[in-house]
Amino acid sequence: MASTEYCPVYAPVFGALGCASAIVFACFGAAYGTAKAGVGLSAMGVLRPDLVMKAIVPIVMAGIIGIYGLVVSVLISDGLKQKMPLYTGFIQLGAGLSVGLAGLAAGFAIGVVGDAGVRAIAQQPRLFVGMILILIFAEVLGLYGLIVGLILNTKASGDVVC
Amino acid sequence: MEPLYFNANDGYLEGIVRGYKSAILNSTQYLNLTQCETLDDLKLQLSATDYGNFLANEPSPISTSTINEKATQKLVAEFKYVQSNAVEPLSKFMEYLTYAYMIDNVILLITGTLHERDTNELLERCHPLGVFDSMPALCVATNVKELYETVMVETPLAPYFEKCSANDIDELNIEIIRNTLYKAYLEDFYGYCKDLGGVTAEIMCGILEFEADRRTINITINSFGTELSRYDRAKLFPSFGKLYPDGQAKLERADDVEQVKSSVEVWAEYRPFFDTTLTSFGGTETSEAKTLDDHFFEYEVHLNKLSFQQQFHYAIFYAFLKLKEQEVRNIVWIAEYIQDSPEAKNERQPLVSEITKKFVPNFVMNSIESSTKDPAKIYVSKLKGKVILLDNPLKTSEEKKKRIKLQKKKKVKVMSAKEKKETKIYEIPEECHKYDLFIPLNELWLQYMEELYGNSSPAIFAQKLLKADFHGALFTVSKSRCASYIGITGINIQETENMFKLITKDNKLKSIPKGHSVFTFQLKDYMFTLYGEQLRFRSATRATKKFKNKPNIDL
Repeated sequence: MASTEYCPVYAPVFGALGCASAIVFACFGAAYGTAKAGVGLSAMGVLRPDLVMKAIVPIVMAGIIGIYGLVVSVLISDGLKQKMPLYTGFIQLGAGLSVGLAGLAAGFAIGVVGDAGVRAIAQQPRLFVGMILILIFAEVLGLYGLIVGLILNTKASGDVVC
Repeated sequence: MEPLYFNANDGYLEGIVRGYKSAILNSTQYLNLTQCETLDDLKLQLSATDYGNFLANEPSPISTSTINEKATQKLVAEFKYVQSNAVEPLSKFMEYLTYAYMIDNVILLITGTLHERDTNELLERCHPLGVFDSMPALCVATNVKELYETVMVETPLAPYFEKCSANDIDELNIEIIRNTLYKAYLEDFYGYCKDLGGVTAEIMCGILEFEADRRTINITINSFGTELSRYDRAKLFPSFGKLYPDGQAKLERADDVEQVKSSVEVWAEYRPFFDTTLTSFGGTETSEAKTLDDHFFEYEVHLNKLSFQQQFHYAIFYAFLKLKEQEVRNIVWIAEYIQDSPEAKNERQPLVSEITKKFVPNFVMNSIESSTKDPAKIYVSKLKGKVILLDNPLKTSEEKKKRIKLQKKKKVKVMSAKEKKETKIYEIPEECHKYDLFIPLNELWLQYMEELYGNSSPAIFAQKLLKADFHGALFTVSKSRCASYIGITGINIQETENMFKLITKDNKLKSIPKGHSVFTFQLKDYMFTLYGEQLRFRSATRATKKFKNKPNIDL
């Protein structure tokens, strides 16, 4: 199987990079979010252990960012073949980067807001609703990345010929 | 991104400081300390805490100054351990912490020299955290310039002295020098913390701003009644903080505590400090209100405690030092109270008159209803010299509840609909069900309508009609959802929220619901239609109601 003009040998490089970047960057974001919010929760939980379960929310939301990355990564890996059009490879790279970097941004936001919010809840429990609202807005950034990634991914294996 | 690199240099020290902080006395331990009767008891209780046997080698009886000294020594040892293991920039930060004590020591030495005290004695009284090499040489200087040139120029306090313009060292100027130095130090430290950035800046700037505001308020209040002019007073205010610059401008002009209070009240955090009502200290009620100083201490401790909730910053080192200092102060206060209390207890006993001394035992013994035991014995063993609550505390709370109930504002009692029905005030009695009785009312109403109509057109009148009163109008039900209502004509004698009560020509009182019915009446060759569904308000309410234009007004 010689490489044709549309399906060069090196096409899978981009696809694989896309698959890797999706999970890697999303996990960076999720890790930062979990770590930062987790530190705040540990500090606050010493004095107010009853609020710990409520304060778990930022950490859960940071974990969800990782799931977004995983979903796109699995979908991209489904479309990797030995002989695939360069076009597909490019689209897959785009999909992976979009969800990965958006997840990174969302994870950063969730981490910072979660840390400050969780510490504030210890002093003023009525701030809980406010914190949740801000976290939702931060989370939705990752969701946008996921949506774009999924749309791109479906386009990757459209009517392509080698 | 501090979590990534902070621990490389400062993680160990943060761990150590958090360990020291967790050893700070908590409320149960303080409770034990306050219940001590002698200083030896206090020593015993303290040995169970992190202080351990710090007073072990002291000969008894211990004095409060020894306790103070030893506790401070422990604090200094902990601080020095942390400082010795610190690297830049933490080491610079910790140096800044010591400058405050250096300033205190310098002022102490200068004052002491002025009063011609022994140098060695003065050096012993210096705070160990603020010791620097050329301290003994301070005692030689007689004015600030000399002080600066010979001694201070090599110390870290040099830049703060540049701000000092006082030339002669005398009683009044010493305090001004101290405050000027401290102001320069605070501003420098604040700038340094801001440069550090990140979480350290966030927390330290908050704490230092409170410190600046506290000093501003204290300088203002302490300068009332002294020779310090307003301009001089303003020069001592640090140029940062919540009160800078507007609050400070107001405080510069203040002349008494009331004005201070009104200037500072704008800032919500400081408003409760001036509250002089009785509050509770740590959950128990006291007989004295909290002073301004008490509030300041509490708020400072609160800010310092909060700093421990975040990780990877330097503010915990500052906070630990302050909290430990406060703990030492608390222990010394408790020790002083214990030491003073036997005399205080004797003083506090009221002067008992001779008559009372004779009367009370007899009265009490007579009141004791005990057949088995001798009242005198009971009196001596159980009652003499003891404080007894005469009132059952539980009962007073019931009385309090009653009092509160009585004092509650008496609400106007409105009758319920059921009650209204029972009293029948809105019913029209049988004898009045006569059409002829209400004809004059109808004529009155027609006159009223004519006046209301005036010279305007029907369209404008229709607007006025919405607010008009309909008692006495001759209504006909032209359309209705219920067929039996259609065609009923009568004079409207009562209008309620949902009903028109019409009296027909054959003396029958018909109650027509307004809903789903259309009424018409005639006035001056015009026929006016009222859609009952839209008029379902009490006549009084209808007068103020704004009616919106509706596209479809029908049933």
